[in-house]
Amino acid sequence: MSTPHPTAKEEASTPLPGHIFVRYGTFPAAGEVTLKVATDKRDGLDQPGRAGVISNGSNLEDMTFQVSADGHKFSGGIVLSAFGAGFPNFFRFEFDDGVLIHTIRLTGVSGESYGVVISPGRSPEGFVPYIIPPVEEPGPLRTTQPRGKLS
Amino acid sequence: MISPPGHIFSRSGTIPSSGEVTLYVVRDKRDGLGRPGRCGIIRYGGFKGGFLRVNISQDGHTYSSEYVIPSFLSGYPNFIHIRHDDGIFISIIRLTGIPDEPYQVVIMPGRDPEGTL
Repeated sequence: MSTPHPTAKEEASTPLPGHIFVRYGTFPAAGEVTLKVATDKRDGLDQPGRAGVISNGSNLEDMTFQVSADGHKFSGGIVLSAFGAGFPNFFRFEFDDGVLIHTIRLTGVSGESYGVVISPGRSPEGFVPYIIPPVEEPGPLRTTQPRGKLS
Repeated sequence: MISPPGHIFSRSGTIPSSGEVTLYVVRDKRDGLGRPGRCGIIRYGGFKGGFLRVNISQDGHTYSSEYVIPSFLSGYPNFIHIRHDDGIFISIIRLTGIPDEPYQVVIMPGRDPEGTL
C-alpha cells in the first residue's frame, strides 16, 4: 500500500524538514527587497536558516545585504561586489558560523539581479535536516516480448 | 538592547584621516555580538597599493601582533578568513591603513566550544 501524496495545497502550506528557501530576481524600482526566510507563507523555513548563499548577479553594480536573526534588528550592511570586479560576488553562510537568518534585506540598483538560497543548517542539537526523497508513483508493469520489444 | 543569538556584526567603510579604525565586536551598541566572535572575514578593498594592518584582541585589552593584508591585485589574497576551528576569540579589531581606502569586516558568533549555537 502506497503512502498517499499530499495535495498541492498541503505541500505549499507545510514545509518539509530539510526544506530550502530560494529567491532570485531583479531589484524593483524601490531598490530594496525584504525576504522573510522564517515566515514566508510560500516556502518559509518556519525557523531561521543557518546556511546558504547570497549572490549579486549584476555585472555593473554593487549590492548590499543585511541579516536579521529575529526579524526586528538588522546587522550593518554587507557589500557584495558586481561580477567581474575581482572580488567574490557572493557571501556564503555555513551553520558553523553561528548566524541565524530570520530575515534578509537586500539593497541594490533597480533592474539588477540577485540570488538567495538559505537552508536550515544544523540545529542546536546537532541534527542535520535532510531532503525526503520523492516517492515514485507506481507505473504499469512492462514486459519484454521477443526481439526486445516492450509492451 | 541585547542582540539576539545568532546576530552578525558587520562594518564597511573607508579608513579615516587618522589612519586607524577600532571595531568593538562584543560591546558595540548598534550591533555588538554580546560575546566574542569566532568566525568572519576581514577584507581590504584598496587599489592604491599599501597594506591594511590588523590587530585582534580576544579580551579587549591585549592585542595580537599585526597581520598584514595587501591591496587588491598585489598577487596575494586581500582578505583573511577566520573560522571557529581556528580557536580565536574576536572581541576588538583594530585596523590601520591608508586614509580613504576601503575595508570590510564581517564577524559572526561561530559555534561555541560545546558545539551548539
